[in-house]
Amino acid sequence: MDNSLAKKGRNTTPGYCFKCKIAKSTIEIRYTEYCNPCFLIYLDHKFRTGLRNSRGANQTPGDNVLIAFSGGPCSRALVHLFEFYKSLPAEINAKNPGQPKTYNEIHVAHIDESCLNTPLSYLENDKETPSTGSGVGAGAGVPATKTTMEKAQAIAAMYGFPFHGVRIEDIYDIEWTESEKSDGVATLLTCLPKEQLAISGQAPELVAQIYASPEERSTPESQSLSREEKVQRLQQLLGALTTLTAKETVLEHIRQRLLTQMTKKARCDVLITGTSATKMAIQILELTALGRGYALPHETALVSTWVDGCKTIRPLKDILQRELELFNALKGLDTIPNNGVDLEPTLQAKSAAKSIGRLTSSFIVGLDKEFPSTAATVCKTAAKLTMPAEATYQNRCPVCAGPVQQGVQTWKSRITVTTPPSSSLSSSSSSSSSSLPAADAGHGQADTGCGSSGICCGSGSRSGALSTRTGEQGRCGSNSGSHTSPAQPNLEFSSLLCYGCLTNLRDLDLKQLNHLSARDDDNDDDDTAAQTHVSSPPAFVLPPFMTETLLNRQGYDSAEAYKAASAAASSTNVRDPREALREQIQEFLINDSDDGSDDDTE
Amino acid sequence: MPSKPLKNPCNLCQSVRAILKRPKTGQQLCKECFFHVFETEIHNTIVDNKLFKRGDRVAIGASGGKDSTVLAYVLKLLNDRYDYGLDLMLLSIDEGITGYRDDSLETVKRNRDQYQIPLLIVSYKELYGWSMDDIVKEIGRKNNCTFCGVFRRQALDRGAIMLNVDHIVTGHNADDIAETVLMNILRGDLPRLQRCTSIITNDTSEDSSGIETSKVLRSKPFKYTYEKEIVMYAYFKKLDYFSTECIYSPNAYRGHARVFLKDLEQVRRTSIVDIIHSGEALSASVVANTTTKLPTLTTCTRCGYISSNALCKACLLLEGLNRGLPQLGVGHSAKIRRQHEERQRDSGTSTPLPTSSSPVVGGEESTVLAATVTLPSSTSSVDTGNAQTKDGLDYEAKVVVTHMKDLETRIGQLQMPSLHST
Repeated sequence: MDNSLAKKGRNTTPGYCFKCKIAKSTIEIRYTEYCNPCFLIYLDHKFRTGLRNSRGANQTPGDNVLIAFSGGPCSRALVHLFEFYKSLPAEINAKNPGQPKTYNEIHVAHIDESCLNTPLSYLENDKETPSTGSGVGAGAGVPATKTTMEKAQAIAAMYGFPFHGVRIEDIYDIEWTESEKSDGVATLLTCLPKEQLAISGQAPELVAQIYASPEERSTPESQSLSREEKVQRLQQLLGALTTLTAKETVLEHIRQRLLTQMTKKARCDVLITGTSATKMAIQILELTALGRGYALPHETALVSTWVDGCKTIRPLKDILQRELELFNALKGLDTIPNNGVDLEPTLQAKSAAKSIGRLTSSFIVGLDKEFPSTAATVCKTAAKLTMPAEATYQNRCPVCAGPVQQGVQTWKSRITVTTPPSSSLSSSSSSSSSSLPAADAGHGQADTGCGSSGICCGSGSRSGALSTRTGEQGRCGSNSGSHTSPAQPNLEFSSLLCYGCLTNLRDLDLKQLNHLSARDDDNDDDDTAAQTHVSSPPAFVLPPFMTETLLNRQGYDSAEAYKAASAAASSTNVRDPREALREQIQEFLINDSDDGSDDDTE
Repeated sequence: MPSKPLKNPCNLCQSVRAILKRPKTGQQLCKECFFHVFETEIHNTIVDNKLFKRGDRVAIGASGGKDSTVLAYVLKLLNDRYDYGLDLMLLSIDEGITGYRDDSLETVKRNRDQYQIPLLIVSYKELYGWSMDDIVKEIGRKNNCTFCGVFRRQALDRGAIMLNVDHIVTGHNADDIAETVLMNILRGDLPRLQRCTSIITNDTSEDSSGIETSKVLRSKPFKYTYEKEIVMYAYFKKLDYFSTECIYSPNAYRGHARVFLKDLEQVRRTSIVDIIHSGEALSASVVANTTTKLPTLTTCTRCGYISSNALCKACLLLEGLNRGLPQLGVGHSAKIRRQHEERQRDSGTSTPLPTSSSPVVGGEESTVLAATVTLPSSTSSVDTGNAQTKDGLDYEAKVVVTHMKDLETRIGQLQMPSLHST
């Protein structure tokens, strides 16, 4: 180590601080030794460098920022660093007119996720009060102590930062949609059962029943759901996901949604996350493994402007988590113990209890021990990526709000063939008469493959699949008895998803819900009116923000679909599979004029 | 049997009992349906990416391992089934690793007879004057894969020129590509991250050792094919391949990535395809960032091959070997050069090491020519390859599994950079 430093021309004495060269070093990090005071200065400088670099070229000073504060070591340090920053004397800015203090108000936001633990254990507690063993364990989950929300609020108050708290189940409140209005409610009715999905090997079929406006629903009070209802809906959503990976990913989408929306509601311009270099490296690899490479640049950039009206910056992304933990220790900062989101109880298979996120995390942490520059290298790699310009926020994925790449379903169906030999052999051989078969013929083949399994882009078998679905839906409506409109149009929306979500939602199985609702019924069936009964077909309500995007995309798509349909009327059936798709779902698309007439009749 | 409900029917044809669970999708399939989807996916890959033109002469990089054996079999089969009109050849590299390559080459020779495809073997010893055994004696077990990888890539290109082919196909499979995507992210290698997912590469794209202006394309028809399925295919087709790891061990860092990938695959079986999908998107993202400078290519001042530096990597490594400084070109060349100069100063002599600008002429040109002598007699039957395709399809040779891991997959292995280098 001494050698490497000497070679770089650094004047350093082993055992002494690299900065002041007087004090004995107490900290060694990234091959450099520091004394405590110098380390704190170094970290603060690093933080401010991050802030400075994240400032846009033409950014006017005075933006308000919202700090995403989970209570973990990184965001805890971030809050403290901001106090430091805030308390800087104004003269510094006067002396450096080129570097004005960029940010004005500093807000702190926290998401309380305790409902992910407590209601479950609470239920178990109720059920098994006599049994001692689990009773104790569950009792610990019940918030006898302060909630993370209260703790976070206390910390924010300490610094005098305005605090915004939200519970994760509040994602079912309408205020977290883009428009903050009640746009509609979508119930995910069907997806192929897990076994069938395995057989078809195809993309999941997701059908949502959509009520474009609240008037169409019989329960107007749904606009303000009780906490229990929201928790229950969230649990149903998570309960229907069969793997830990899928649960964690969807939760992350919900968190992101809450944070960006909180930023807007708090009249802030910038969302600041405490993502450390370590966490960033994990995230980069995780996104890659999840098939989200397309969204990776905007999810990992120092500055991301993907979300409309909410810039996200990550000023700690060059600082290792270990450095931040050291900082906290030196400053005596208390973190809020992560009461560990415990998702396992709802998982049935043991193999499902591993997740891509956790695997990646242990991989990076392990590798970083052996090769200490791993995290930094990975971050530097991602820092040089730019998202291709063709994706738009308008056209975002309804589930993750990320960019959607075109043609992914076709891509997938070409490299994962799921048709039996006879059908495709005939079509392929017919097309391969002269030389190499033409690509178009190949596409036709893939399309029929898709269509026959009722998924996306088939031509002939589509109507059959749709009618079955409508029948199913009718049954559902009458059983649950909560909807007045007899036949709501359904929307098959898997085609609107990004690749990552499409992959993730393969792990969706509504059958799982039967187990879950059975448990709920045991406990509090009188409490909740909108209870899903065991007898009713499994379904769960999508969070409003997803519904909103669905409706927007649908409007967007239906306009396209009409265009496509009229164009297609004359042309042959070889064209963009997405357009074919849209055309097929066209009759199930609602547009605004329809809504109006519905309102009138009611 | 027709009326009796089948106990465990194949998910696709529903008429035969399933005998395997497909690694890529988890579907339960019968043998025939598995063969069908396996072959069709490769066919789709070839067609969608327009890998070949009718009449192309295509060399299959053959190591005798499972990937290249299956590749040779499937390509021959598809060439007949879909009438690609390709002229197929086998091209093997003899690195000179006793107890490993000599055995695997026997497998390749059997494949040549079984599939009636002509074979050319080029050896390191003849091309460079050094076999891998010699090199390992010189530099030890560490880093020797750098030599192997760099030399093999160039050797393949030279072999391709000898065979006068338009195209080399290699058996890199989806696992290899996904692993390389991960590796390139971990190592921060943007240029390679950008190209490691492209299915066709011109030799101009690889790490400093490609052959100049040969216009030989390389491609990976198994880009989306799972390693496990290749093994499965070889198993059910009873193909004759060699299944032992190279005796000069694999490298730790890539090993980590491989283990990680296997873990991911266990958690979610589509992970491999998902990573490749991400890799393709990232490739576009690298390109989209206009501030990133990708290396420009020149030609090697010594041998005239494409190189990103004035001296190509193969020449640099060879120079190091010949001068008794085998660490040259492995790791920090500058450091080694400096150490060398210090030692030279101490001893009073001064032979400057080759730098990128020193146009020393090595003995390489002559060795290239010498290699042609080694064309096995089988190459004379190049033209007969296609005529006998029909018979070739029915080969179900006995499993004579010897030992080794494929040439192709190894290629990049120790020399981490190169997926393409096969």
